[in-house]
Amino acid sequence: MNADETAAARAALRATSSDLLTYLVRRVPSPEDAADLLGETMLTAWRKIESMPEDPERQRMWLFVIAANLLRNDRRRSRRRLELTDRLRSVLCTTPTPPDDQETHAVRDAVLRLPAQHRELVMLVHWDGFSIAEAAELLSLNTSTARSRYAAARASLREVLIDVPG
Amino acid sequence: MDPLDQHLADSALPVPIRSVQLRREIDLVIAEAERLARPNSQQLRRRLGVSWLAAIGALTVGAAAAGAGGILPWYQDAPLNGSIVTSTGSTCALTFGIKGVEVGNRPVADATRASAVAVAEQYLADLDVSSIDVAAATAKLPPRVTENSEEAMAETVDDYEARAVQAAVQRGVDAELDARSLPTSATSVSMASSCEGGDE
Repeated sequence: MNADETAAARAALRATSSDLLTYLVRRVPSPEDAADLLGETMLTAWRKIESMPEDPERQRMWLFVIAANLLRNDRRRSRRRLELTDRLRSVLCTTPTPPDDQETHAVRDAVLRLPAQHRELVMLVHWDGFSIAEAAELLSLNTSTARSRYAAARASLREVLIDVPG
Repeated sequence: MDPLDQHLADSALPVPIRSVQLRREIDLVIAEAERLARPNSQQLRRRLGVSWLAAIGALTVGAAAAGAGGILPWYQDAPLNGSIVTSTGSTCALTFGIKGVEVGNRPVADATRASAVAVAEQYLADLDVSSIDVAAATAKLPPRVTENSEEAMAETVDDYEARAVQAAVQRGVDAELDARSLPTSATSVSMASSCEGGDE
């Protein structure tokens, strides 16, 4: 990898890193855990950097797939603390989060009560901004299965949130 | 937008506000991960380093570039071997070879390129690396990069000074080709380096 390619790789990692952190923060018990997983994602990405796709959209998906895999594995083992994320852990814990209202709470509660296979799809699409096809890729599902699960999840949410028109 | 879509988007679990400080810390994690993902500096110093100088956009051509014989096809019978002592006290074993290259906007006939490679290889065969003034060669380079950045990777003093010697060899090759009216764009100098010892 030459200097230009290395600089391009850095830019790609930087472009997706905040969204990766957001994705991780929403899926682990504490911001410290999210910081560690972001560090592991970046370490893994650099170790495999030669296989990073050239297309920016594919680069983003490539990084999210790494993070998603680490997240899956992370749930099966104790997390290792990384020195490289010491400061990020501390900053994350002291950075405020914006408040939200009662109605938002109710909808979120309905999302979080969905069956796991529906919940993650809804989160990926509505919280992280992925298309259903991209969400399917991250969850290692075929697209048609993801579409039917997503439709079922929406129907279920609409039923629970009876005040939502449409 | 369906009202449900809006409600779902609004329901996202709140995350720490994106701030300049948070951005800086994330950038530091990326940079540190990059550093950790590389072989450690000691391994790096003992590892065989390989680089080449060529015009931007150049493609290697010919048998030397075909790679059929191994990872470093030019290395086996390189025309020039020698060593230098860097300012850190390291001794760097250097091996130089010549590649025929093709620059897109400066086409060269195959026969001309072959002549240029032959002349350049003979020049290397006659050169004594230890005769190169490392300090003078280093003075001709832009300042050493000491921190990784978006523009360039950090370099050790040994790598930097070895690269300066490589650049000096390239200048010598180019002068030789010029003197014989052969195109300098037809060749590039390859270098393998391995540094040991020193204070760095």
